[in-house]
Amino acid sequence: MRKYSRKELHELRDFYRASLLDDTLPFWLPEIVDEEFGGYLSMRDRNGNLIDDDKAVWLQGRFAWMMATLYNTVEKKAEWLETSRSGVKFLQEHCFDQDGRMFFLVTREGKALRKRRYFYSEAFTIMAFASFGKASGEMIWLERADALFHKCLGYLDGLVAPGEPKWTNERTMKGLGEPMIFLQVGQILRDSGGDCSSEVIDRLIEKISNFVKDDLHCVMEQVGPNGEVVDHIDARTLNPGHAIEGAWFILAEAKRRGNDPGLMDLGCRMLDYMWERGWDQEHGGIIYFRDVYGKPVQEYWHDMKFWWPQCEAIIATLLAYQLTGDVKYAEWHRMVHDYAHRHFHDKEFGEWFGYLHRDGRVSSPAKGNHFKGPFHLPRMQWYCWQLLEQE
Amino acid sequence: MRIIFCWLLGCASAFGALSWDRLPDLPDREGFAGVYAGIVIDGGEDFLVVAGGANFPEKRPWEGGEKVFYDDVFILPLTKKGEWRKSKTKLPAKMGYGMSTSRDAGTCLFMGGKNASGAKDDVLSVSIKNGNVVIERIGALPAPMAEGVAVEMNGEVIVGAGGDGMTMTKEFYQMTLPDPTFVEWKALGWPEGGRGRVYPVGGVTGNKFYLFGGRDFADSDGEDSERIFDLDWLRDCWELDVKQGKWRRLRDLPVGRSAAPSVAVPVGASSLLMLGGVTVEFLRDQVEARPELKGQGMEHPGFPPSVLAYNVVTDRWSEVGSLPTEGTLPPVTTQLVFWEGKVILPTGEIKPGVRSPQVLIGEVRGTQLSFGFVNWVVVIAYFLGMVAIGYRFMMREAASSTEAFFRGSQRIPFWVAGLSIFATMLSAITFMAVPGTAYATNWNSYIGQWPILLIVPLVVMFYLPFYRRLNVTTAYEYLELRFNVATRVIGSVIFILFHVGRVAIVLYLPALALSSVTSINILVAIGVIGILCVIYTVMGGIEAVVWTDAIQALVLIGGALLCFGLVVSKVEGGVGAIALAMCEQSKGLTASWNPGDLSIGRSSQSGFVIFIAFMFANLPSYTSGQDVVQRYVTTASRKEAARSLWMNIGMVLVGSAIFFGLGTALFVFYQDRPDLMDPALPAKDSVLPFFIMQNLPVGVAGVIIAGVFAAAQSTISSSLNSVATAFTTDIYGRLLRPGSSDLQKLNVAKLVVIVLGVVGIGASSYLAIIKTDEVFLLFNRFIGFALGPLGGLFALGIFAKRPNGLAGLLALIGGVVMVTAVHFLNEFGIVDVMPLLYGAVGFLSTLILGLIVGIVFKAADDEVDGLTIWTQKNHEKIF
Repeated sequence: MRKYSRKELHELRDFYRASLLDDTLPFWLPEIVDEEFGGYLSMRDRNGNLIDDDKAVWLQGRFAWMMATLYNTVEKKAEWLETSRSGVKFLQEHCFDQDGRMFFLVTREGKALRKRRYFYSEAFTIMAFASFGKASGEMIWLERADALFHKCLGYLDGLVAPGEPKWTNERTMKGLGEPMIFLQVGQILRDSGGDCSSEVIDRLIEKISNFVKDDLHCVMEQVGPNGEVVDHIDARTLNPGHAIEGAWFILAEAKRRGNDPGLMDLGCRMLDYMWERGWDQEHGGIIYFRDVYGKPVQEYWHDMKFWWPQCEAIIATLLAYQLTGDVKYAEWHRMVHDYAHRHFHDKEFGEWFGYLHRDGRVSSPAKGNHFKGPFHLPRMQWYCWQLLEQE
Repeated sequence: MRIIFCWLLGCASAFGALSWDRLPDLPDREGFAGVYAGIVIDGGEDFLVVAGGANFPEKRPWEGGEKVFYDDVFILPLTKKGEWRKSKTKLPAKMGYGMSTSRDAGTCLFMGGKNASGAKDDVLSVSIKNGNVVIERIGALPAPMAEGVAVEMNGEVIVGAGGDGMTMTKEFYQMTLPDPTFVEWKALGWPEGGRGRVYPVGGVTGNKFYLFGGRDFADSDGEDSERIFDLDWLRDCWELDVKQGKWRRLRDLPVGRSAAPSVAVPVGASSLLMLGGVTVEFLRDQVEARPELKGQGMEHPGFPPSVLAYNVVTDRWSEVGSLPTEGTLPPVTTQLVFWEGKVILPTGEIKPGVRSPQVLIGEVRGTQLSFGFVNWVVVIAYFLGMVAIGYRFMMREAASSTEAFFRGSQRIPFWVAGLSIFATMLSAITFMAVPGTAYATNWNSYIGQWPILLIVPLVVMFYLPFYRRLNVTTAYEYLELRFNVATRVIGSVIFILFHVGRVAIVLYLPALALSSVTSINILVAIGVIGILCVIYTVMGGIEAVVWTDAIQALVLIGGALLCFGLVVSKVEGGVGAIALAMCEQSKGLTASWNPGDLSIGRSSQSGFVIFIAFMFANLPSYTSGQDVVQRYVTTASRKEAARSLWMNIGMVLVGSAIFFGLGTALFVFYQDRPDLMDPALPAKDSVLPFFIMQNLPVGVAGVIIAGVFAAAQSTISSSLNSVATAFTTDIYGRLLRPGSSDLQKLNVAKLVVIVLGVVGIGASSYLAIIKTDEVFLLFNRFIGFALGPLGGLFALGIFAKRPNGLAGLLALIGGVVMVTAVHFLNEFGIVDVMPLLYGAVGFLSTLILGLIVGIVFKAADDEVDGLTIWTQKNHEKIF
């Protein structure tokens, strides 16, 4: 185990910047923008050909956020701002249902195809509206983001139902995903000048901490109403990449609050537990699902390597290293960084593959589908670059 | 778990005159009292803006909680049915309890208000530009002011009442905007003897401003029964005629009321609604229930939900339903906002010290009384009777020649012709509008019927001899004989055009009035009246028209008498009460007969001027309108024709008196029983059909409604036949196919009836669908400009020997130009002439011009032989 030298950190910074600006973004821009209907055509094959012209709503919000964020933090590039505008306009005009909920999938023209009960479309839309509002100076987008955020907090607190539940009330459970995503949404909203108080952030972190089980050395993906482990196959399933993503959201909050020791401790525990659980000792990389008790997992893609857990682990380990200086995190970062870039990066056409078999063979060569698009990868490249700029 | 409130998705519930629904809740846990609110337009979309106000966020007032004021601005996209958002723009201070009003230009004004440090005088203009709220201070009120009212009236802002916390503002102000960034105020005064007040309700209807209730600091003037917490609840209500600057005291509220949503809702033609509000009796009940909390507390049941209606015609208050009380509570101390014919009540206080984020939206609902099976049977039987008459005359002769089709072979009895003239001149809308006018105003228009006393002798003595002796079919044939063919064709075309437009209107208006108060569909009404009318007119020609007219006249008068009798029997005091109303409540003849007052302006009350105006408005119809003149030539002799006209005098004077009396009776009836009046009654013309449907037994109502149909049909059938006559005789037979056979002419006449009927029904249905008749009325008004001159031309021909054809033509054109000129001078405010006088202007200017021009363009003696009253010597003498 060894720490990073200043030179190595500078090389890393340059690497992330170059891979974002010279590899990832050129893969997507400018073709991703739908000049006719607005929004993004993000479902692409390995070399960038369109494989489906439907529009995944998550991705519209995510990429609009990414573009506005680059505009806000990297360079006031008109192309990025206008690309972001195309996304937020499409979201506003086509992705809301009559009841104020958002769709999950729409056609290229913006006709609704699918609506889901959980409200992640809203989450990414708030991120997009808030950062675009900040970038453009058009306050209406921030106001819309505020309104949507407070509506989502209502869903989150169980005051308002976002839709008909699919489960009976026999075994109620809550998931890590919602408080986690809205923690980041709240942070982005706050930092864009929106209306999110630190009490709201604290409340969300409090909710997340309910999933951290120190006795089991793990972060649960789902727990019962009182935070208890539910001993059933789906409730036992852990998602290490997801928990690691949550870890860096909390570490980021700790950093923003001047290295808040309580939050640093919480974030590091989450990262430590789930690194142990998620790192594939045999082939490297963060594995998709694990059982909390080591029992067999229900989902048969459990041992695949998805692109995004690697991205999140790269951020989390680097951030943890920066905050704590603990050489362990430098080592982990080196491991996952090397593994990911060796196996996921498409050396021929740029960008990353999304789905590998456990041993590193490409499973699906798609660069974009309903879930994958220009988000986790460029976010990781941007975040790490910005982090290292401060070194 | 809370329910998500969807946008007007069927969760509407019915509450009396208004049906209520909810808009998305304001995104605030508690909500506010005393907000500013209005409608703002940005990019063609409407937004509701709600700002400021105050609440008790931590503890209730009875727990020692502190009132907190806010400067937040919330926006709800209404057009796109969006979600609330909180603007990044704030009010200039944390404040509330001011006055707001929305402006036509798509901005709204937030005025005055207060906070812990005192009352405000700001006038803030609120707009949204590209989604961003912009709040600019454009001026100041004459004094700091809160808890008053503001309304918009014809684009002008009126604000007043309330106070600055120490003294009451005993004044109303009208805002003038010398330029959009600068505000000036014009004082409108304060009612004499009226106390200053906070939390009253203000309203606007019929160009007048109304002030209802409110409350004042306790004063020796107050009644004990209206006093609590050292405050007097006020019952007095006032009307301000802004133009004349006159305040008038109205009937008091049943009990003092204050703090209802600050603007009264105008509904229908003549009502204002006060939505909820607080009464002393209610407060006393609450104090009794929870004396330790002075009536406050969470157990408080919410404020009274009752909705009161003030009817400006009958000057009566009635309770007309309530605000919703399930899931929401009636709000007080909030700003009422009008939007697209609906009212919005955003947030507000629902219990003392408790607010709600609820947002209510209400829509006015008229009462639609079911027409029912039996009534339909009666109406259908009546219609079948009409068609049977047409069929009978077709079988007899009408289908065989133009002589029969246009003149009924001159064998119509005088009394049938007389009834027919009466029915033709009285359209269905008159049947409803005359009682409506007497109900809403007075008998002054009855003066308009009196000129018949002069018209009939004039016609009988000077016009009839020519029409009879010259054996004409259309009146315009006389014009060719006396002047030239051009005047004949022009006269005929003017007549035809006027009636083409008229058929559509005459069909549309009664159908509209009926469908507004009954379950009869407007298109069905238009179709039924129109189609059957065309059928019997085509089949039976003029004979069917005049015979059905006669029956229709009897049905009409009978129906009116029946209604009158019924109302009188239901009104306490009977005819005496009606007479009393005419004397004491200015419901009778109020016109001035002072010979010194001969004002011709639009607000003229001079009986003489009204008489002259109607004289010349009606004279052309009796002398140059083919629909009436045709009657003169359907009887066997001139004597018979004269008798039909003499008879018409009585019909007009007595018949219309019945209609006017009926209107006054309806006024007395609904003054007696304000609870029976539907505040949403759309127009004064609807009062008669509404009364009929509400109070007449099934079947009888059918007869009277059949009478309304009858009145429409008698007018339309006359138009159809007379237009066919004029077209066939003056255009087709004279210009297009001079040598055509009688059969050809007859077929053309029938075709014209059908085409005109179909066009009329189509145009009328189109009006019903687009729901406005402005364009048509405009068309008719302009064609109508030519009717007076046409009447003048006939008079010129008959009474003047000199003018020749060219002179006549020039005089006619000159007359039309004159009327049009007066009209436009009137529109631009250069002169002030009541439009009713246009007939006189046209008639007299044509006559005078003709006489002047006739000095130059003289007719030879043989050209006018037997065609003027001076050149009759070789013919039958008039005198």
